[in-house]
Amino acid sequence: MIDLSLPLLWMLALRWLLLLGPVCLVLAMVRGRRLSQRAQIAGLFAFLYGVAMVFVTHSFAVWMGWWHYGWDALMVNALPADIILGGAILFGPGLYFSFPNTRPLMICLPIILGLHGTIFSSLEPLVFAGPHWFLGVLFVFATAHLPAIYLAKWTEAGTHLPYRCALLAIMTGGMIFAVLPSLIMQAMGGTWDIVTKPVWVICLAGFVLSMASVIGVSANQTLCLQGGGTPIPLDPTKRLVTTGLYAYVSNPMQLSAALGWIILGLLLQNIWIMAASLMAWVFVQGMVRWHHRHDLLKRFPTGWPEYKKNVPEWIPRWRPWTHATATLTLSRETRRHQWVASKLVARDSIDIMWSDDRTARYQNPDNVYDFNGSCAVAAAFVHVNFAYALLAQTWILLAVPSGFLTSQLLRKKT
Amino acid sequence: MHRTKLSVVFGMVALAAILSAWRGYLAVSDLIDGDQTAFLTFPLSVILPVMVFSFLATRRRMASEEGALMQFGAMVQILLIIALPSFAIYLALGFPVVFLCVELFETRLPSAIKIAVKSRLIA
Repeated sequence: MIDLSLPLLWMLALRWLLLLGPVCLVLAMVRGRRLSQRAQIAGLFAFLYGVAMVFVTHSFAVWMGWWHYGWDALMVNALPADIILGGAILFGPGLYFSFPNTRPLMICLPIILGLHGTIFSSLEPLVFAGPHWFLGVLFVFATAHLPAIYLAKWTEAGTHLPYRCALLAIMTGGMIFAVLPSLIMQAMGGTWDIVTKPVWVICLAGFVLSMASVIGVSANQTLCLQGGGTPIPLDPTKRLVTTGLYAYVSNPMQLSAALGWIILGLLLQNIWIMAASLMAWVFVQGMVRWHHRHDLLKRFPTGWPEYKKNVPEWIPRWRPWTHATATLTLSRETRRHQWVASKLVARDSIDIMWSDDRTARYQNPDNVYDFNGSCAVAAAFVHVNFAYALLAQTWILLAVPSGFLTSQLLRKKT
Repeated sequence: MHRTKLSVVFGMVALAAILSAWRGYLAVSDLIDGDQTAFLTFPLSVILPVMVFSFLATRRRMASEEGALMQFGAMVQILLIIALPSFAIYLALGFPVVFLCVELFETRLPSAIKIAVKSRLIA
């Protein structure tokens, strides 16, 4: 361990460097390496993921007592905003642009051991290391920095779409539920004091919050499975997605964010966090509609206007708007399948077919990804009404990634 | 292709330079007096916004008039962030309002006003 004991002016300069150094590094890389637009988008995603996760993990580290920051300037949630941004830039696009062909773990290991391991505990008054600070460093790298560099790598290569969508969902969640509320509380007052609330209030809020989150996360999953892209317009879907929760509401992610802020505001008794849902509306009116006109309308000149005419932006339809008839193939020999058929037989938008195969299959001409087994039954129940759709999408949200990860593990074993 | 008029951009760049110099002077004089806060906040509250402002100012070809107006609106908002440090966090949180204003301008305002404003701002 090195004890630097730098003079104050040097520490002030170091704090400047922690933000401006990474910014200059990224600018130099973009200019010097003539990075493609795709690479720059990849860097942006890594930065956004980094901002959300560095903020969340450092907040956790401060709460655990692993370290805390000195100087009461630009503090948000006891974290210096400039250091968080600098960290997100350096350990996202900065390192990725500098070492594009090196494995992310190999980039991070020397930094963890060489830099943090030697000087982290001698950076006072910038940062005061507490007990177990090295555990905290490992935690931050494992959950914030490494995934950010992987996200950039996969985005530029256009591979690992499910993982990219998952990381972008985590990023969005971090922004919506941690970064923005903290900024709002910094500006308008309020605290994250949840533990003093009655247990039933926390449980109820947690349940309602997870149902609101299902709307957004499930929409993200549908864009990944059926659209072949991510929810971020810079890495858009290849196809127009009108199924899943998109058959009920055209802005499920913004709706989910707005509901999330209302519920979080109620839990924290903070009207300003609730008011952030108005900002979601403002964002849709100003930015999303513009994106719709200049991107979706041009890419899908026939499908988009028809969809837009039939599906509302904010208040979900009770029954889905369907463009084509889906087919659910069931087995007559299975009692559960017969029960499912009896529940769905009255639906116009779904045809029931019978076969000897005991595995249910769901096919929809508007989809490119077909569902099998329990997910097929769930996908069929999405056609009933919004309440059923929410439950069915929750199941699909859990079952599809589980199946995917299991298949990946089995493939590795063989 | 559409772009914000060069004279408008030059005016805003000059304003950004004056504001940055003024903030820099305040930061250094506070530091000499023993208060480090303005000096510590300078990179995030001045240098970074100036960088974003410069990036926007050098984007000269927008696909639509709406895009050029959004560019102009974002530049004005950044100038306000630099000029009003006490309100910077509120202005940053309210950034989507810029895009709402442009959307309302494009979709709600009478054509005569729109044409008059655009002719003064966009080339």
